[in-house]
Amino acid sequence: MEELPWWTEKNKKFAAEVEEFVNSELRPLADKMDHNQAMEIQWDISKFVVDKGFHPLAMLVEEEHGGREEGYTGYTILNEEFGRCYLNINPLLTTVFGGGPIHLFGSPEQKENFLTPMLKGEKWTAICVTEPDVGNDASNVQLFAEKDGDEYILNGWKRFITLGSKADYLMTYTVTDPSPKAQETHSHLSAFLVPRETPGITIEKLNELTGNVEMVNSVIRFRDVRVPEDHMILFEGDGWTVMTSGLNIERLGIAATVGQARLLIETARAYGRRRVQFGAPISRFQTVQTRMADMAIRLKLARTYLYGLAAQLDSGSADMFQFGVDAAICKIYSTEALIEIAEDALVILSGDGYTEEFLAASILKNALLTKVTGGGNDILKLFVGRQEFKQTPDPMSLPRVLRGASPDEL
Amino acid sequence: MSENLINRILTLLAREYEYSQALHSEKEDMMSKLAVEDITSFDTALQELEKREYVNLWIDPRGKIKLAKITWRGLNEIGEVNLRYGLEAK
Repeated sequence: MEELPWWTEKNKKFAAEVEEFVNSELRPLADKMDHNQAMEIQWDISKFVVDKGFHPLAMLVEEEHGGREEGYTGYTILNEEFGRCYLNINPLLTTVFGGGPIHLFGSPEQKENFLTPMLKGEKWTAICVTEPDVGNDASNVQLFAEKDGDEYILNGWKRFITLGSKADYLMTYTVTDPSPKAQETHSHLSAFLVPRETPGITIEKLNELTGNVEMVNSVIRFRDVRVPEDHMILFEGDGWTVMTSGLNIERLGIAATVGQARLLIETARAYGRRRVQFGAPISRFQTVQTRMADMAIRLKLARTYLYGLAAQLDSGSADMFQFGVDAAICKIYSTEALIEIAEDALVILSGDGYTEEFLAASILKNALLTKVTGGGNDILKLFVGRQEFKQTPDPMSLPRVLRGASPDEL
Repeated sequence: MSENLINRILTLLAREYEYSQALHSEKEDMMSKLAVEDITSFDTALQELEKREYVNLWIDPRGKIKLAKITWRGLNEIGEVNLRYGLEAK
């Protein structure tokens, strides 16, 4: 894979190790499957990846807790290479998004009890944010948690929960203080790691998705679900902090769609060089070349920005909680770039692009989901736009008419 | 000229056709798959195949053979092609 100039020796070594693993062990497994098989949840392959030491969550976690400490750059390298395989290894990804907050905020006991089994591939996690009446308005969660002795009683619904019926743990966001004052300061939420087998949890219905059909999307009902107090991540009222940090990890993960973009570009490259029309390979035609250029530009920008952010997090110049705007920009650009790259690849591949062997249409269909998941791109754009207007303009970057210069100066 | 090389190339092209009916094969890629290093004899074999109308070649403006694809005559020569994977190049 192409190295970025600021990668450390450790990053380079890890990238080579991952590439070797993917090329020699993961790709051959993927090549044996037809498209429909590859899109089924690959539990065995997910476990195999963990056993080989490549759990994405392990990249973030310290060695003392069973991780590899490869940092966000390592995490991104791994996601990119997995994207290039185009296998359904969602259990690994949802476990990072659900387990990430425990790594960031969990107590030593929680790390020992919950994080370690996740890292060993013994337990898988799903994240429960979305509800029937709550989508992008994520702070308006209505799943209610009431304290009763040293337990909390959960009542309400969650919806669109990837792997909801299969995961061992549900990283669940609830309301513990519904007062308007608490809502105003975003201190009304609390986060719990709920074992799925807890009495009172029922999977009411599975949604049928258009793409990603094997994601096992679930509607989960919580009816008087008793969760011990020690399953709360951080403290009561800290749910928003936990949720946004978890979502930032998810956004960085989604942004690693650059791996799929690479797969598409390589496919279009091979196809363009070998498809002969009008007496010449189509790579000689300017309309095909400009499409290829657009694809390459988008991939380069998305990848550079993504690894830049990962490096900032690794160096400590940004932290996961204050990092929302950058994570949002990265997620918006990378996901939209993937959709555009998939469209361009499909057009270059023409009729073949619409077959399942060449993957372009399949990736396009599945990529549409990334636009609305992990915080919809439109809502993230509002967030970015508002943050831009909050900043005071730099006077020296303004035209004189906006600097309020005195008449003498004019 | 090696009749053996001609047959191996034709078999490889038939196999490539089974994978994708749309694409030509790149000469360097074919040479690598067939473990042939002598470019001159490879070009000669391809030209002979074109002469027999078993393959179509694409030759770049500088005169280098770049791409080859089996024709229906070539497919008939090789035998049944069932559009299934598995015809092994020898």
